[in-house]
Amino acid sequence: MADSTKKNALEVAAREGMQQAKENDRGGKGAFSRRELLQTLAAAGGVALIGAPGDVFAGKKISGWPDRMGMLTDLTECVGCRSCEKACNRANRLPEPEVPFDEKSVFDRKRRPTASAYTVVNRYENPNSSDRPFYRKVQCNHCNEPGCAAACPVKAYTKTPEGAVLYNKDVCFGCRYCMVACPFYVPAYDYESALEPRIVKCTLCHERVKNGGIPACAEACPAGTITFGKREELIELARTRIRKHPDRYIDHIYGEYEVGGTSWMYISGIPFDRLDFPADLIEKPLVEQTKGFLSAVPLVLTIWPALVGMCYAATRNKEGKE
Amino acid sequence: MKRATIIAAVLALWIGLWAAGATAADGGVPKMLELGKLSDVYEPVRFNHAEHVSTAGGCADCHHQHGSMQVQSCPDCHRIDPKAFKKNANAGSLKPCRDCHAASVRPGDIGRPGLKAAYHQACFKCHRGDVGSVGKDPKGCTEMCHVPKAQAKADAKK
Repeated sequence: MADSTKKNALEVAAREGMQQAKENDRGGKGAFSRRELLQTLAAAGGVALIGAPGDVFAGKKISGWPDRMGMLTDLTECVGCRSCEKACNRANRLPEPEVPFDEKSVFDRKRRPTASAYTVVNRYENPNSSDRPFYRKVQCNHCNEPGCAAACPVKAYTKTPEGAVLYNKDVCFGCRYCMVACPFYVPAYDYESALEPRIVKCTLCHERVKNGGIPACAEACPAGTITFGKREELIELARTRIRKHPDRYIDHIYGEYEVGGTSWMYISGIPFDRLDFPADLIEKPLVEQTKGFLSAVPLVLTIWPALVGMCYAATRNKEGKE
Repeated sequence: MKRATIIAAVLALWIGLWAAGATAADGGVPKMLELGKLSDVYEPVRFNHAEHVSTAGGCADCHHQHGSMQVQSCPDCHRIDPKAFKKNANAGSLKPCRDCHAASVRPGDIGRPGLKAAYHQACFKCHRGDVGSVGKDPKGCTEMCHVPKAQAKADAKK
C-alpha cells in the first residue's frame, strides 16, 4: 500500500513537473532542457520520500485507462497469408520488401519485427498434421505498463488512453534501453539513418483508430484472426470462445496478465511456449521490479552531496587544527 | 449441318446465361455467386455454389460452422414458405450474408466476423489443409479462387 501511494505521488509530481516544463517551453524558453528534467525528477523523488500528498490518493487504485482498446489474435484461425504484413507495410508507407508478400520462403526462418516491417508472421510445424502448420503474428503487444516506457530516460514512449504505446522520435537520442527492456524483443532500431536515430515499432494504427477506423492488419485479415475492440470486451470474447470450444483452444489468454497485461492478446490451440511466446513472464508489470531501486536514486542524489560535503568540512577543520 | 451449328450456339449461349445468372432457380439456393466485389486486390471470385452443395453433406458444413455462435433461430435467415417447406426449407427467400456480417468492420463489431472473414472461414474449413494449399503457402490464395487484378489486366491485354 505504502509503495503504491509513493508511486502515485511520484507519478503526479512527475506529471506536474512535466506540465510546468511544457508551460515554460511555450513561454519561449526553448526546448525542455536536461536541467528541468533533473529538477522534475528530484522534486518527484522528494515528494515520494516525504509522502506528503499520500493521504489524498489513499485507497485509489489505478488499473489503466478504462476504455482502452486492444487486439485479440486467434491463432487457430491464421492461415499465414501475410495479408496483415502487406496491409501494415502500405498503411505505414514502409519500403517494398525484398521478397514479395506471397512468398513462403520467408517462413524458413523465424523473423522479428524490423525497421521496415512492424509486424511479421512466423510458421511453426504442427506435430499432429503437416498440412495445418501454426502461424504466429509478431508485433508490439502494447503493454498496459510498458517496460520500454519505464526504461526510456527521455520519456519518448507514451501509453495512450486508446491503448497504443507510442514512440516520439524527436526526443529519442538512440540509447536503445527500450530494446533491452521489452520482454517481447519488439522495438527495432533503424540503422539506415546515422544522424536521426529512431526506434520503430507497431503503433496500433493510432491515427486510424483516433479517426474512427480499425488497425490496418485487422481490416486486411481475411480469416478473422485479428479482432479489434475494447480490451475488456475482447477478454470476454476470448473466454467465450475457449468455453464453447474446449477442444479447439487451450485455457489461456496470453496477454491478459503477462507483465501486468497487454493490449494485444492471443488465444491458441497449443501451449504458447511452443510458438516462442516468452512463457516465464511475471504477472506483475516490469516497472514494479525496478521501482524500489529507482525511487532511491533521487535520495542518493540529494543526500550524498550533503554527506560528502560534511565529511569534507569535518576533515578540513581537523587538518586546520593540526 | 448449318442447323446443328445454330442449335449448338444457342445451347451454349443459354448454358452460359444460366451459369452466370441463375441464382434463384431452386427455392432460393444460389447456384453461381460472384463474391468479393469489394476487393481491391483480386478480381471477384466466381463461386460455384451448386457444385459445393452437391459435395457438402449439408448447409452447416460451410455455414455457421462454429456452432452458430450468434444466430438466434432458423427463420432469422430462412423465411419459410409453408407451401413449399417440405420440399425445400429455402423456398421463399434467404437473407444475404451481408445483412449480419458487415462488409466493412467498425470498432465495436466484435464477436461476429465481418463479411470477408465469414466467407473465408466457411471456405477454409475444407480448403485449409484438405483441398488446396491454403494455410501452407501464401500463394494458396491464388491457386483455386483468387485472380490478382494486375494479372487479370495483363491477361485481358493478351
